[in-house]
Amino acid sequence: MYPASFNYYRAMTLQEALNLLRQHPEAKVLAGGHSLIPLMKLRLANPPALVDIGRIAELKGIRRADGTVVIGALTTHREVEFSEELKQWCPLLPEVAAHIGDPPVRNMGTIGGSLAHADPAADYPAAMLALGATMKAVGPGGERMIAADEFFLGMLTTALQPGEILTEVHVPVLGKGTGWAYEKFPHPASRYAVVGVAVVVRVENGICREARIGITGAAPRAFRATNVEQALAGKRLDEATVRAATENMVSPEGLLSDPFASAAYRAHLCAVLTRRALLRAAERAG
Amino acid sequence: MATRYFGVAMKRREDPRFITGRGTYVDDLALPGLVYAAMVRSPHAHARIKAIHKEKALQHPGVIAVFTGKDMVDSGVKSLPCGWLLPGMKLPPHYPMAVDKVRHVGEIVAVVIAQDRYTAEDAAELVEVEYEPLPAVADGAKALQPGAPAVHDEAPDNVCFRWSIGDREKTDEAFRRAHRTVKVELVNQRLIPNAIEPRAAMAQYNPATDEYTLWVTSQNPHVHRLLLAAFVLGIPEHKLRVISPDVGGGFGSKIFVYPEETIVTWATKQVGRPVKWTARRRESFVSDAHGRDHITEAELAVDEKGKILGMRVKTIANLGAYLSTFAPAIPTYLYGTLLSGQYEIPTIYCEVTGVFTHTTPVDAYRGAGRPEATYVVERLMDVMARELGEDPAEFRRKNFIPPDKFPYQTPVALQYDSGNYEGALNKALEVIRYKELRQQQEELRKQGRYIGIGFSCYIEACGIAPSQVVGSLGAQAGLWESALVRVHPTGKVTVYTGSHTHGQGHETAFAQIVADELGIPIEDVEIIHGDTGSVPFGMGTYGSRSAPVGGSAIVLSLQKIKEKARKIAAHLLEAAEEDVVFEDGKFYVKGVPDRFKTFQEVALQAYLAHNYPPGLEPGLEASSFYDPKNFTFPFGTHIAVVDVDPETGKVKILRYVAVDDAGRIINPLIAEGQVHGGIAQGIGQALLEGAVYDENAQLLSASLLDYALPRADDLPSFEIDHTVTPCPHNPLGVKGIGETGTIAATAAVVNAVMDALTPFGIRHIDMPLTPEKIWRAIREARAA
Amino acid sequence: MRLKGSYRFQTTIDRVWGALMNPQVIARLLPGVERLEPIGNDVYEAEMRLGIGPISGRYKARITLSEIDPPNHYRIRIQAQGPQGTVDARGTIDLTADNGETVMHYEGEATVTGLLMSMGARLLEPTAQMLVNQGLKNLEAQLTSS
Repeated sequence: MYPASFNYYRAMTLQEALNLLRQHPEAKVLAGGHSLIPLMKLRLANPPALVDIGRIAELKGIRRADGTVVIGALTTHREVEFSEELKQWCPLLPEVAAHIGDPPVRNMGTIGGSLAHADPAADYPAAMLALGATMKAVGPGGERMIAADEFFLGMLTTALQPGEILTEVHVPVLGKGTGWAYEKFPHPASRYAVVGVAVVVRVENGICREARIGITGAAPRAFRATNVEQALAGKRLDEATVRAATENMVSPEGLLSDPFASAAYRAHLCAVLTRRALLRAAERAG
Repeated sequence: MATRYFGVAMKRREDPRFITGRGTYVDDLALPGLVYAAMVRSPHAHARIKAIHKEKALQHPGVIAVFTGKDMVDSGVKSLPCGWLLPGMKLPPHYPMAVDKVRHVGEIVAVVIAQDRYTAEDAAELVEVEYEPLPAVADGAKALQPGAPAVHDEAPDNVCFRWSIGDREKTDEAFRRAHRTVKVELVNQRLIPNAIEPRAAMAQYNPATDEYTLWVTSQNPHVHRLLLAAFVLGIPEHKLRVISPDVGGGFGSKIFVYPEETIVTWATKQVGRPVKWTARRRESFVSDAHGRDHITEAELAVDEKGKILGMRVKTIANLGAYLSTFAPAIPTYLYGTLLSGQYEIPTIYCEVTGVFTHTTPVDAYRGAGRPEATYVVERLMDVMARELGEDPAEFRRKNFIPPDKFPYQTPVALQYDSGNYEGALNKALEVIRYKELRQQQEELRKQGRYIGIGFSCYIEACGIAPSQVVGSLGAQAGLWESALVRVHPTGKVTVYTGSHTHGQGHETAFAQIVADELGIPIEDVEIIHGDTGSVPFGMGTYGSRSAPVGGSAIVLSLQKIKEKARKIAAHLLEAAEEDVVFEDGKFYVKGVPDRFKTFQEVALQAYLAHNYPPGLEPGLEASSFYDPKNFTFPFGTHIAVVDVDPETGKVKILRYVAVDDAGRIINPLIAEGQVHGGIAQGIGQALLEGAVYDENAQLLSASLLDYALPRADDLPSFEIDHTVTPCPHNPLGVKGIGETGTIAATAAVVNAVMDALTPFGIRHIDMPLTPEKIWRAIREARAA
Repeated sequence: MRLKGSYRFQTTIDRVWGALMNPQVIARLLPGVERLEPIGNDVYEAEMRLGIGPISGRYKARITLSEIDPPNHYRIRIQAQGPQGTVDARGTIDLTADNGETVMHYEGEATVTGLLMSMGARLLEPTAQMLVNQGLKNLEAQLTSS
């Protein structure tokens, strides 16, 4: 289908983009476009205007600031997938990025766009929750940092206010004794996550000090499996412990359901994938 | 005749233009003054049309016209015809645009014609249709229940036809006497074709000559022309030229005469401008003819030795809301007649009920009836083998038709001309290393890993078809093929074939045949197809008929050419005709090879006629129409090896071996490509695909986001091999291979998965074998 | 698509009933309702913009109330039409007084056609639930403010 008519504005700086959004409150921000344009082609989304931020230099780049990696919102999935810096500092992200869509999608899609769009089956939200990431938003009221735990509010709904642009993603550097993994069960058609589980664990002397588990695809928004996290704290991450902690970890109530996967199956996959992710992460933690 | 091209794996001449974006597809074409059509489609599965308000759309800038079903009917347009009639069947009308009622989601209620595509689509949203929604039914079995909403007044119980084949009493008797019987309930789920090029049509009317030209994505342009001109639009046949240029895949979905090309051909005269329509993928999902959709109860009976005594099959075939062009033939004559498979079965009885539902019409889709039959037969064989505790390969072997029984008359009308089933089975078992694989399976089971081995010993009937046979069965047309071979004065050759190529590579394969027969370089041969303005009437391409029927028609014409050329050569060599030999493109007197005339010299003389046999007409061209004497019967054995993850139910295909016998192979590269594609589609049905309608007959799987087509990473590398049993009744000895992969693969994969799940005692799971279905089956089996 | 649930309002059953029967209140329950006017006995017509995130559409709806039994129960039918499809929702609302508070129980099912169904089926129930929750919170807010 062809999209309905729209006006197109191109911003070359962040300030320009913010001004354009203020002038056109109904406009949508366009970055890689690979979530938004398909919706527009189906006429499910019909924004009267698009503000293209894809050329704003200050939104690109990956840099380290002490124990944090700062990723520009316009960093493409492909850049994340192949980033030598991220492979060293925060290797969970390149692993997750490699699972997103397919190569053409990864060439265009951006981390900021994906997070702001908050598709219930996108891959990054699970990783952000597992990492305890923070998102930087800039808007008419200034700039603010939003913790991942507070960022994903519901299906396609984030804490971003109208007129705000997500500019940076801050993730921790994963040090020694940290294990990580992403397990994804893709939908055979869309290749979106039916269930995707991202895990970061901190292990000391074989004991799990902290586990963070982010789950996407199963519910209207990505969520943390805090019950499992608590069950693992202070324990060894061996097969038996992990199996016990993940058994029936999630109830089907409130989970998404479609002709391919029912809520009950998704609940089951949560347990299977969380277990697999935890065991892989434990191995990596050494 | 030394063979230089036949059997050679040459690269296809079509491919350079296709892979460099220089193909000419219907959507690539433009004409001065071209305008665009957008279809307004019903969101309801069943509703009365109370009113259609065109005003807002007409007022939108750039809109030229808005037409409705009433406009077409008022101007004399008739119903789209059904090309295969069964005795006693109901024949409700199928108008290109709905008139009083819509009967499936996606049915067209109006068309908007505008200056450009975007305006047409914007304006289509402005057409306001007042619907009175009515109850709807999508499932074939539910549609037959009392009280189900009727799709057509003519068929208040939703039954279109009841058909049967075989001997009911004899079969019932066999079941009474049987030592063991098994019964399986099978669903062959509805599939949506999804050729990579969506359907498109562009029409132009010339008032000066009263002639129409229609460019359309058709597998059979002459059929389109005949049906549209004579049966629907009421225009003289010779005043409609149909051109089917490069077409990106059909798989059956582009055979039929659809509403869209009808509308566009009618509309171009109304608006006085050329009109083009190209389907959006979302439209293709609801408007392309769907495939399969059978609900079957199948039974097999054996004696104490495990030899089959009989088979009983009852099928409900969902036809959709309207009869598509060939719909009645698919679940009857292309299905029931294949139920003997490769086996010696004394008696078979099959009953089919064709049902209307409020869904997209169903018709032929790669394999058309034969995959459905093979699935029934091969599942029954596997279930029975398991019941008897016998090895599935040996149980099949024991029941094969032995090679000395050919020609073999089956109890379901078909007579197989030839076959060597053990040959194919043995080859496949060898390639897969069967004994070792079974041992491996045992060991892995102890480790909690479940691999499975699945067989599909299939036969198919293709190369359709002998006209008298199909005529007696209800076909409204013959199924022969035409070939006009024109030799040019310089010895170059143009072949006009009634076949159509939309992926099959005929421009290469047919040229290989011609170049060999005439001993000329292949670069000198051109194959023309797809234009009713230059090609004699042909029936088109489907049913794996182009090599056996289209190719044979070419051979007949080539023989006529060679005969005439020999006469000319004899004259030029001043020799008697019987003494002239034709070899490697040269005519010479027997024993005197140094004195020869080349084919090119003979051709030139045919057109100069300066030194020429008296009484012989100049020129060198020949036209033939070849009617096959019988179907051809490719056969083979496919073996799939799968790994099932018991935790998630996910299936991975570890290996896939295909041993096919399609007679002589013209081009092994093309043949292998056909087999690869067919297997991919068969695997797609087994594990991934399936059209899903909800209880209001809303199509839920309406895009590639939900409908899972197989991709490269879903598939293993295929191991392809052949046996060659030439077809005894056509001059090329070829059988056709386009559909064998799809016919065999579905059963092979399903049997493999069920084999993997044997330790759990699971008997049958319906396709697609999604991870959740397998997970649930294992869970239920464990709980029991 | 099926939906059901309950909600407790911290006010009397008469006030809740009064609010539910007041078109001005209903019109402000959901952001995006642009017009709501009675066109007959217990029949209303509305125009609204609904959506989540980037997905939104404009709908024309007819709302019919029946089986009106103040202050306990009524049946509601919403027939909405938009370019993305149609929704035909039928449900019941039941109120029970409980010590100066009110418990509302709602139950309903909807038939959806068009793009909404074919593209968005998996999002429909969570979206509908979200819209209902939003509406109820809004109603609560209006009740406490007035």
